Amino acid sequence: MMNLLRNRLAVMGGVILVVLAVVAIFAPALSPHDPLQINLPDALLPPSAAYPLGTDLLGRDVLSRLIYGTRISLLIGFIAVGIAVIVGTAVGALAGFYGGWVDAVLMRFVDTLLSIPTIFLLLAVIAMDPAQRLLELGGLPLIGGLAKGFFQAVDPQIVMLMAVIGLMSWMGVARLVRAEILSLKEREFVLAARVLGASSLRVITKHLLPNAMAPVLVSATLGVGGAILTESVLSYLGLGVQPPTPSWGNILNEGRVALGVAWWLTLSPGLCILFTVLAFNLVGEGIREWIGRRSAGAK
Amino acid sequence: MPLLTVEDLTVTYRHHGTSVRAVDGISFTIGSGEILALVGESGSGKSSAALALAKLLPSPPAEVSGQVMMERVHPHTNIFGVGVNLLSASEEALRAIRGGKIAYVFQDPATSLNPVLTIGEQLREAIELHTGARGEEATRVVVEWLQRVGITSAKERLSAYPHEFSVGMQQRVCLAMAMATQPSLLIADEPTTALDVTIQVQILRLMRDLQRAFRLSVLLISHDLTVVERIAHRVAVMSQGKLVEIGPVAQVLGHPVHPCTKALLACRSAVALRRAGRADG
Repeated sequence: MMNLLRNRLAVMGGVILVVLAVVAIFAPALSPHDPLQINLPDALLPPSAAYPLGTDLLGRDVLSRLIYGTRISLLIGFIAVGIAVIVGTAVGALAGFYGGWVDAVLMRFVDTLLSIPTIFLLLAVIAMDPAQRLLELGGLPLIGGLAKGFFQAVDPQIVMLMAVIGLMSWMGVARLVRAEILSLKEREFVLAARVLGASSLRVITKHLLPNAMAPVLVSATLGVGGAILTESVLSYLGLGVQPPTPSWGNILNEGRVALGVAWWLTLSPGLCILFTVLAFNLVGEGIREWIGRRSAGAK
Repeated sequence: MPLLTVEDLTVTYRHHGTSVRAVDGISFTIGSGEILALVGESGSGKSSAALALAKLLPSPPAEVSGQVMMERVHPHTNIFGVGVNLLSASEEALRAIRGGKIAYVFQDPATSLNPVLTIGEQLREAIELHTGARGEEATRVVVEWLQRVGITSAKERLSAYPHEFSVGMQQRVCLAMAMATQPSLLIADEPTTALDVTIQVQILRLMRDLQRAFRLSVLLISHDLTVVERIAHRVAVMSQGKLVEIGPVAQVLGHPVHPCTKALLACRSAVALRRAGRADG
């Protein structure tokens, strides 16, 4: 742990992440204005005491919108990566442990997904509007009803984004976990667990996966930054979080039209994205180095 | 009556059309409370045979044939009735037998313990898989076994990780893990090879004490005849997958018949001579 704290860049990234988390959690208390409150007379005001980061085309406070946007971005980042880690770990563990045709089938599927440029895949899936399709399953009482109840509680667009980004980014984790399991399963402690009478499922979950988690942690940390970036890209293209809900990507998108007259509209969300992704990368690299040094230190 | 009767055990490894017969039709028995040593040069099929007994070799590439009959040993539990052929038993039955009736200890304790689980967790796993004990009860059994294999302040050590232990202590933990479910057969595959000489003696003594206390049958795999001489009752010699000689230790090592046994004995005398020479100088 001390080694991790000695890495100044990682600590800096960590501090940024803590600040972001605090901002996201206490968004209502921290934002000076209502992020959705339209106030046309105050449109496109430059930064001032009343509006620290200026206002947008509809006179909404940019700072407040950025603060609420933090919630959306972090939420999407973490949950999308959570989905990717779960799916990737499961696929990678099965492929690595069972080998043979299971491995061949799963890995060729991974290769297929990897061979399609992510952004096109995302655009294609989002264009089909899976959340709407799910709601239309209303004919099937159970699924339709569940979907309706679920989407009343949370914004379907955001849920869809998390799911789509997560389900399109698990392939790296799957390859990583597969490689780890391939080398771990030959280790003697796996045989030792089997001679104790442990089942395959138990060997995988209790003995193999905990040993394979270190690189997954690194990849997940880096992945959160990537997922936030993907969300911003999609929102910027108008396919992500829909206005009026603020997200860094769509604030950037709205600011694009006023780029010549209102620089503050694009600069601030741009910097937010930059520093957040940077922070996740620094922390991820820090953890990678820390783990590397630790396993080099042990025999 | 023998605890384990092995008949015509054959292990063939097949890989891309080529096949190697690692164990070639060996037959032997292990009596209840007996220590049988299986010796032979490396590559003679000792370890393959040992793993094949509980169907632990991955298949493919390994193909195992023959019969491994295990007698019932605990009349009050009588799980398996009389005579189970381990090679045709179901995977589920085998899981109950592995660890429960047949326990293994391997050569290198440093790699047979899982580096990310504490000693306590690993020992508890063995107990929870095979006995009804859970929670506090399981912990109590774990501590008891750690003490029995000579680990001091066992309670505090439960939360230690394997790398915090010396190799000798790790092997004690492995022994505790194997013994905690009170199996009737312990298969020890070169249990002292990775240890230095003084620790070797301690571990062997511990194994012999446990064997006597629990009337345990032991299949001891080794290429070190000094070890075999010290604790085994009978010895079986393997060479190129075949069992070439079997009998009481004194007879086989005292009056070796097969050239392989003689060769093994010759190595030992060479080492012994060199050791003696070094002691003199």
